[in-house]
Amino acid sequence: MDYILDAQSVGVRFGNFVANKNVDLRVKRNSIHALIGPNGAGKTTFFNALSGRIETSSGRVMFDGCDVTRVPVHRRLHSGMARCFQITNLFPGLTTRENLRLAAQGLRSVRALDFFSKRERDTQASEMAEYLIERLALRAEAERRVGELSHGRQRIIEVAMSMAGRPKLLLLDEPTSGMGVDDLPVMRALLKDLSRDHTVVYVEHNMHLVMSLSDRITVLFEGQVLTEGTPDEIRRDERVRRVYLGERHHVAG
Amino acid sequence: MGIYLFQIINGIGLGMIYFLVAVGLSITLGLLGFVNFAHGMFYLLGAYLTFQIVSWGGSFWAAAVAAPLVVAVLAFTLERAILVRTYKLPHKYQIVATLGIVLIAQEAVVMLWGPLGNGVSVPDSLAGVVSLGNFQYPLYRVFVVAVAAVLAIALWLLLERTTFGALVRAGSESSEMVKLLGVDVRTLTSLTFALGGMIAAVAGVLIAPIRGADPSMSGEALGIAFVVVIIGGMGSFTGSIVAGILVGVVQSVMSTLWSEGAQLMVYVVMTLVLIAAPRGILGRA
Amino acid sequence: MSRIMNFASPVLFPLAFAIVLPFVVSSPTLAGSVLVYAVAAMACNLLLGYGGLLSFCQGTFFGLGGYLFGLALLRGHCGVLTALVVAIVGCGLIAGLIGAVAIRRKGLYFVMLTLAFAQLFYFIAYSLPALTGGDNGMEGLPRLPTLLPFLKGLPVADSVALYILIAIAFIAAYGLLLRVIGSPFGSVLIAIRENEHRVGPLGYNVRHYKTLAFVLSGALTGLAGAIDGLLLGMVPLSNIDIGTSQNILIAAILGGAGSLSGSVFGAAALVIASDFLSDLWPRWQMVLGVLLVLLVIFAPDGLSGLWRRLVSRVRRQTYDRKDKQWTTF
Repeated sequence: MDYILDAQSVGVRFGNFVANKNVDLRVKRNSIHALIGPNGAGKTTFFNALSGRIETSSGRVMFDGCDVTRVPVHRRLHSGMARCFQITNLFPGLTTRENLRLAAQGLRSVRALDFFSKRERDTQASEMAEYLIERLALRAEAERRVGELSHGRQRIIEVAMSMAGRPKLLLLDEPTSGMGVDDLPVMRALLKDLSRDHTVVYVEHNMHLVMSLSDRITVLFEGQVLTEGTPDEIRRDERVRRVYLGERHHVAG
Repeated sequence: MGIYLFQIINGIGLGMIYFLVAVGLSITLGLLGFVNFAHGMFYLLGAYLTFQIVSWGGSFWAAAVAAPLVVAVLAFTLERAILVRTYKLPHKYQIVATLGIVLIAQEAVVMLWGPLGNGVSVPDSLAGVVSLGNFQYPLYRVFVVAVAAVLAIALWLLLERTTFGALVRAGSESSEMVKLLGVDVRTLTSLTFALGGMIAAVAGVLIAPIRGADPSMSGEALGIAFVVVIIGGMGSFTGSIVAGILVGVVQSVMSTLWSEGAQLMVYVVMTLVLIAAPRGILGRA
Repeated sequence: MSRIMNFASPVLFPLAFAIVLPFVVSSPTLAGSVLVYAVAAMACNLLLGYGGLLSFCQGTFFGLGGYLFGLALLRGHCGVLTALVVAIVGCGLIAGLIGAVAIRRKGLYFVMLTLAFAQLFYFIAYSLPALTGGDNGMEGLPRLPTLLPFLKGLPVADSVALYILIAIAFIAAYGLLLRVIGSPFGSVLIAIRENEHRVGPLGYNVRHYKTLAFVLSGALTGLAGAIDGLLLGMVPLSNIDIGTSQNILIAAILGGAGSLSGSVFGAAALVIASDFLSDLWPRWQMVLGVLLVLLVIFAPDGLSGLWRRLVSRVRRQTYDRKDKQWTTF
């Protein structure tokens, strides 16, 4: 089975506190895989471990056939893994275009150590920024400073940034968090569109989105995997419903 | 042989004083989250106030009590009046503000007491020597070691065993959390700052009879404090003690071997430690 | 024609500044000093304003640049250009060494390390009088006519020739820094300042960028120190002490972190004011201290920030929007 991402028994501890324990995650190429669970289940920590932001205490992360467990964060991008953040994490004082251009420039980061040529000479990066602006309908915001844009726009730019590196795998941490009703359909369409040529693993709380969009869903609870399956299987699973009871989420379709 | 033993003990005494300066810096650094470049001025003022009180006819003991208290009040006021306005700015601006403050303090000192140093004599009750067989050692220096040790223990108890200490330590990890506990973070910060300054002032009082008071003390103290924190490891109380003594001993012993290079050797040792143990001897993550 | 303008326009400002300066200031030595400190402040700004890194090693490289320049001239019997290159490259290398150790740490630990290293180099200079002249400084640097004999034939006063040379270095430094800021490297540096955590996941090795910035800044500061040696004919010990680091830092912040032209004005203000005030009152540094505190509280953007606010008020526009982008004046 061709898994582009294969996390095996991943564990993360902070001192005595165990944030993740024995988490397995296998994601097929070009699928959309959701990671859900109540607050505090360890989803973002797991994401941080997958993307290399924090170190795993145990287990392995295999990406596209290679063991990336000890690979530092900036090199994971070069192997094809991109990550977007739960709390919008852009360059607030810079324009949308520059944010995207920087993301695209990072693909050839050694070339970017060039401190003498004009940055416009790197047309690849500028073209990628232009392409993303076009594809994501960001024309109106292109020359505005990202810090001034609405939250929904910022989330879309977050996702666009992670696309700029032409990754094989996109790790999206709550892409619709805080988004208004107007922007949701845009994000939904974007995620659907992305899965055509990328693999998408995303953390979400919006159950409608998760149920309608995902190929497979993994449920985390208290740092461990509760269950995994198709949306239908998850919908029918008693344990998942119980776990979410306190969260007042409708899991029923 | 005797001279080296002499210098080593000198070094321990000096090192304990350095430890006091460094620990004051660590405490405020932890809670404030920025480096107070004016920290050396508390040391400076401790020494100069001692000189002034003694020249007014007061006893050394009076100075030893009054000077740290005056400096504590000054530190408290400084934090409330000026520093609090800088907290929302990026760190570099806070550092610049403290640079400005120490400039003002240094120039004020020169204005009041002149550019050359002023000597402070050892109090009569502490003059004289302690004898161990053939070996004689100044009583005052022994006093310094004793006082610094007592202070270190008292400080450790304060930080580890009292509520105040727990709050200070918690506050240095996360001021948000401490706020949630209903603690008045503002007052805690000001008091901690005052405490740090007071400890540095005590160090200044102690060193005054050894090297007198002069305007360059402020800068030297800061450099030494940094070295101690770097060698000992940021956030480590024991590390600061060990590092302080190491620095003091190196400096004292070197002043016999190669006096121009004494200060240099301190920094060379620091560089070696940094290469071998980047987080300091006892540093935490 | 437009291609020439394109090439020349970035350096119009420093050129104009260098031409006007001698008419504003009382002596050619003072004018030269302003330019020297302007280069140092701009180099500091690269690190601080664009990269967000606060360092205390400015004096280290300023002094080191002077010493290396002097040693190359006096012991190595090199020509002026070679000696300058020695100073620049030497400082760059040492910056690389210090950077390798210091940049491993972030935030205030980095600042502390730079201060500690600055002290280290100060005491090295102090303790090795055979090399550096110790307390007395390095004296007897050859003056310009000796270094460039062809000048003797020209109808130009020595002090003028010296100033022209310094001005050339100043303009070149300005132009170079402009290129650096506008380069891919510069854009990443700015990104690091804006949001350091986001840069790594985009594929950049942040440490490499910081180290390179540190090296470039150190090398350019070394150039400033070398030129200072040329100007004074000597390298005082104070050039390598913490006080010089502080002064350069103050000049950069006074002018406005993140504004190259601001650094030039900040340096000018500092050098001219300290020259003027030190004659009036020996304790003038107290005024400087007060100024710093007021600056931080009321005008952290420095002179360039004040200028922008004034301009936008006059134009009744929010002019700072476009201006704040790359801040290339």
